[in-house]
Amino acid sequence: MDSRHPPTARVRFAPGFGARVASFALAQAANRRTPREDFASSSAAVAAGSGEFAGRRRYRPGDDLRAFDWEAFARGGGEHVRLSRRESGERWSVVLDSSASMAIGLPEHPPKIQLAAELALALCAVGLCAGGQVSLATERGILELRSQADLARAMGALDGLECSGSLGFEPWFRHRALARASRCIAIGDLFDVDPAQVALHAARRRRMDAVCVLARVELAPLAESESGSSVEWRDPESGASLVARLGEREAARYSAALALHHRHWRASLARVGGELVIARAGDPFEPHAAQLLRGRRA
Amino acid sequence: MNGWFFARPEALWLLLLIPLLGWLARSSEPGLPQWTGALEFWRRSLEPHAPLGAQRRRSLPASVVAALLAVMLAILALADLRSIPAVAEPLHWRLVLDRSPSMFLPASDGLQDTPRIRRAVELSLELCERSGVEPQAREWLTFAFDGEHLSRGARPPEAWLDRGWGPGAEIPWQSLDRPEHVWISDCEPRFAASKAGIVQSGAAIVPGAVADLGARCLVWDGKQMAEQPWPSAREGISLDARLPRDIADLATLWAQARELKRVEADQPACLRIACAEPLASAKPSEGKVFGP
Repeated sequence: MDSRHPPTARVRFAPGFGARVASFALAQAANRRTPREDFASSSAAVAAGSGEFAGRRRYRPGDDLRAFDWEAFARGGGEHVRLSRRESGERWSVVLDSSASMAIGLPEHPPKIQLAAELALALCAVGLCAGGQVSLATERGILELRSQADLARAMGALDGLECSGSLGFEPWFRHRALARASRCIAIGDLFDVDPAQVALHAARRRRMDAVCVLARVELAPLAESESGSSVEWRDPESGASLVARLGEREAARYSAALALHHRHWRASLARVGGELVIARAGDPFEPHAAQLLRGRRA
Repeated sequence: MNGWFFARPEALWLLLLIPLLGWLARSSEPGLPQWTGALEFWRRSLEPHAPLGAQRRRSLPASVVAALLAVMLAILALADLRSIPAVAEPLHWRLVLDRSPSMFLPASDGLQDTPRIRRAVELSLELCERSGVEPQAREWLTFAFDGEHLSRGARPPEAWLDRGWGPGAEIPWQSLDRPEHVWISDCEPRFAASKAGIVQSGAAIVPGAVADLGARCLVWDGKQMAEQPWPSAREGISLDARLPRDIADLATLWAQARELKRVEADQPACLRIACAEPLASAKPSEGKVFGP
């Protein structure tokens, strides 16, 4: 690949990837239903939300305390909230960033967009498997998914998706189609999004999570270049460049700036009950998706 | 005037290569290109206090700067920087001519007819030629009983070289010991010169007593030294009757100080003081002390 031109990348799902995603979604659904969560007391009050009692789940900060299962807590069952049929069938929105910077990674490693697309598809599958509805937003538009049968459409919408432009996914937060989602998951490199705006947009929703997908050269630059070598950093979206000698001190400052940026993201997401997961391009999607769905760090 | 100049100024055009080389070095500096979405984070890490989005000026590494400096110094060396030698100011000499009686004795180079004064003047002219003293830059000075005599020109006045022009007076050598002064004499004056130059004609020893041994003296007869008693004439001096009284008294005192008697003109004497015919141009002098 000619390094003078910005990298280009397309999403390519390997054969059998659909089955892999389906099995992951089923495993996640089974993990959600613990024996304690299956317990339902006849004297239990009606769940706070309207609708049929559908089970329990672990309490998360921000949950409505009216749904708190005090009986289970009194019995030493831990902190749980009651679920109604409407809650278990949540409405999710999965927003995928396919700007030009998501193509970074090639040729030595898979591009960021590949893992991002796999995570998006996996999260769509999990949401559908849980009985909910998912809105998948990409550069190609918004795809409404209502059942597991729509997963193939989602896969078709993501396959061949090309990285281009610098739009990012911030405009999707204001879109009417995604305003009804109770949970929004943004997947991208998060470089062009101000974390302070995240809380502003997520205030209308119950929860917002984010998955930050970074290329290896962005996570550990010294691992990809020799210390002391002269490097010209180029931004594929703006065309700007910066020439510098890559040394230990410079790499340490870069890592500190990146860590600070992620701390700001975590703080913003925590205010709306969300999590930030950092994933490395080229990794399998399962651990990162599982970490996000668990609601705690691995 | 002191200053600097380049012997090969055309080599200075090569200095134009330096910015060109610097531009080439900067344009070839990038090295390994890396695409990243975190360019702003790199900019912050390289310039922690730079505002966001600020453009960072690329600087040349120290090795490239040192190489360009070495190229610049090499070009200056090729241009051959030199200093302008100071222009020497023309020489002006004052040549002091000794006209004491010994200067009119024959010179010692076998030319018996050439007096010492002429020989010394010729030697001084040779010195002026060798030193590049232009004729108009030569000033001749001598002392007579009527005071100083000054003349400019390539040679001293011919009259000065004639004994008949008049006796020479005592020269104040000490006051004339200065740069750009040359003493012309037949031997080294009693006062040693430290700044002035000396031209000596040289000569053989004048036959006669050369050393006082008390009752005897050492006499040079022109060929060898001999010790002999002082001639009886040593005991007296002869004074011309026409001498002014004060001069005769002074001479008498001088003789007495040396245990010499005054004798008549027809008697043998070791010293005779006579009145010479006055020069037509001679000025009367008053109040001047002269003599050995």
